[in-house]
Amino acid sequence: MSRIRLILWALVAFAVAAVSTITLYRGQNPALQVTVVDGRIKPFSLIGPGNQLITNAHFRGKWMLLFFGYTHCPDICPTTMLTIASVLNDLGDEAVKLQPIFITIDPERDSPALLKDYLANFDSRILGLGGDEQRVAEAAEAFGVFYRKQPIDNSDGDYYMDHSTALYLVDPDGRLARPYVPDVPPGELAEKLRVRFRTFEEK
Amino acid sequence: MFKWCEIKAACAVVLVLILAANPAFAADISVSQAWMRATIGAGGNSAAYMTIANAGSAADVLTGVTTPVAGMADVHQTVEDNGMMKMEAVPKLEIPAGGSVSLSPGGYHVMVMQVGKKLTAGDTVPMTLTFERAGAVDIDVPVVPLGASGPG
Ligand SMILES: [Cu+2]
Repeated sequence: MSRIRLILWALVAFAVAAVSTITLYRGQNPALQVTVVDGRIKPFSLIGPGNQLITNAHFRGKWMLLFFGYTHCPDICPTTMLTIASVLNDLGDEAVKLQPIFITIDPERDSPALLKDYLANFDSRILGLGGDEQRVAEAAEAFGVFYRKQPIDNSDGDYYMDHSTALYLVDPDGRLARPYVPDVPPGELAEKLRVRFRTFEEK
Repeated sequence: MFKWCEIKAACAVVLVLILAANPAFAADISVSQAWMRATIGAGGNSAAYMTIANAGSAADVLTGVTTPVAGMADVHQTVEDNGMMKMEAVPKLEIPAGGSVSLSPGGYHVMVMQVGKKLTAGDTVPMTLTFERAGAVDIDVPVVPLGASGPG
């Protein structure tokens, strides 16, 4: 009897260990966990370049390619914006099907007008969205995007932002197609998008 | 009396001795393909990229960067941390003997912070790199448009 109990408890201990490992693993990969409601992305409501309210509903019927970044970002953000600009060029006429969107995770410094000026350096078809802390936090949460302020030592209050850098593709029905890692070669990304466009249209 | 060829040989020996005693001359370090992006306004940040080659027979270490245009300049590396990308300071960047290290987007860069005035494409930014062995190495970094992907 005690032997069976021992085995039973051993099994319980094993199960506890397994579940906590899975949970920990999930906890370490907070990015790429997009909240889905009835198969669709969670709504967001942000402020556009003319200070107008822009929600996800605005883009129904179009593909969205979203990226979260900030204009003071010296390395990753310009590199990713270059990728998107080159994808738009590679797509040619088909680029009208896609709305690339840059959402700031640094609303303190990035006004909608500044975002517009910044993005014009890459491709003016990229739309910059911002808003107050609350709106930005909700949009980021919907896409499982993580960000945090990183103060710079001896800089009198200056900071960088650590942030997730995936690209999120949302189909014209508001369904998440998939996240991409940003270092996909642009030519490859354009081709992947074309295939997605075609599959969706044939549906 | 010494013969001319003896003087030449003696000089050569002395030269070899100097080289052996002090293997890292500033001339061993060379910087090529330097570029940095324009900023969108005063007070902005930029990153400088370049290739640093070490022709010497001993490794050298980049320990610091200064530039008159910015409040701060540091060597950084972009790294992934729990699904987030962040920048970490690299206080010592080793340049292997006979090798090179490339600072390029998504990897190492010279982070240039608190740039006093807006940097515009066509500007040139003077920078001083300090190495443990080679000492100070001055370079000029051309500024390219914000939307450029290389030195052009
Ligand atoms: Cu940096």
